[in-house]
Amino acid sequence: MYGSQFDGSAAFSGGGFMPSQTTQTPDTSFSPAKNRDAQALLPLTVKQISDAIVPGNEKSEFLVDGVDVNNVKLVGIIHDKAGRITDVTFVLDDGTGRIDCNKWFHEAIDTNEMDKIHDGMYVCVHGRLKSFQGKRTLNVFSIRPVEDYNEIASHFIECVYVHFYNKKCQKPHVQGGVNTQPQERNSMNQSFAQYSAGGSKTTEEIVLDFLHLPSCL
Amino acid sequence: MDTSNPAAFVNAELLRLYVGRRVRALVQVIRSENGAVVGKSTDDSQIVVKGSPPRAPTTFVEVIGIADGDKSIRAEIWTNFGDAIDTHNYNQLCQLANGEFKHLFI
Repeated sequence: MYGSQFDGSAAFSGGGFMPSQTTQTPDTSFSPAKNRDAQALLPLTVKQISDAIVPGNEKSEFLVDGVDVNNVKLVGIIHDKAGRITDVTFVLDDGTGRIDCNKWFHEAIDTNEMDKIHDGMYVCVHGRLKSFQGKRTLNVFSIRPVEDYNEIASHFIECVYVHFYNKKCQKPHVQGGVNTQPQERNSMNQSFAQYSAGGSKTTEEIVLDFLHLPSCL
Repeated sequence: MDTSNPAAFVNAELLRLYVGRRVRALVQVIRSENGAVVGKSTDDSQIVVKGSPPRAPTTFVEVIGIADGDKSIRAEIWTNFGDAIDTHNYNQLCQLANGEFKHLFI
């Protein structure tokens, strides 16, 4: 049904993966998160979270740059910390926006972790994005204070990098053909495998490259 | 969730684009004067930060506040960033956050 869009021999060279045999439809998201065992951790800004698309299917709650968003990493200043017995809520302000967060206490270690954190501190949080009645919040499973402040610039630069990489990987599917333009931004390609000259990567190779990103390891 | 009041990453060169708006900058403290701190931005230019710095400011501070001139910021939040930090890294971030990746930030 999509055979006319693909030049099979050019697109899928050597991989043994023939377009006619696949049941995969050319969708805009090839995310490794579709395999439940390999959900990526995305570094994001609050602005990116507010711009995330809700695709409206049960497979994923949010899409950012064509990638399913489950687990996210944010760095920002904590405000309005309000602790209760079973959980704590706070607002994280990373300079691009503010997002409501909550963290459940399962063990004593969780309470101890939160005791060291006060309003006005820079923290790094890992959590899961949730949406309820249109409002996006973060369910935090890990929070720690920032000690080396180089982490702040590094986090935002990482957000830029992952955004750029995902956007670049998104192109083949959006266009319907699989000819990428590897000549663009060759300097950015040095950190991951070169595209084969004149051709492009198979889907499996793109997914493997993404899983090899530092943020996913 | 609220993205109505973001703080743009700036150095001295970018500060003038955000006069009257909320900005954030990494500043190396040169000296403290009455009610202000004179500092060096990440692109090696002098900027003035008005307000009251923390009692024991470290060499580098990040200030978040309103830009009230080409070369000055009225700080609301001061954060001590320690005595050693990679200013080149932060400066490159300022370029990226105001260039083609601006939509990720503001």
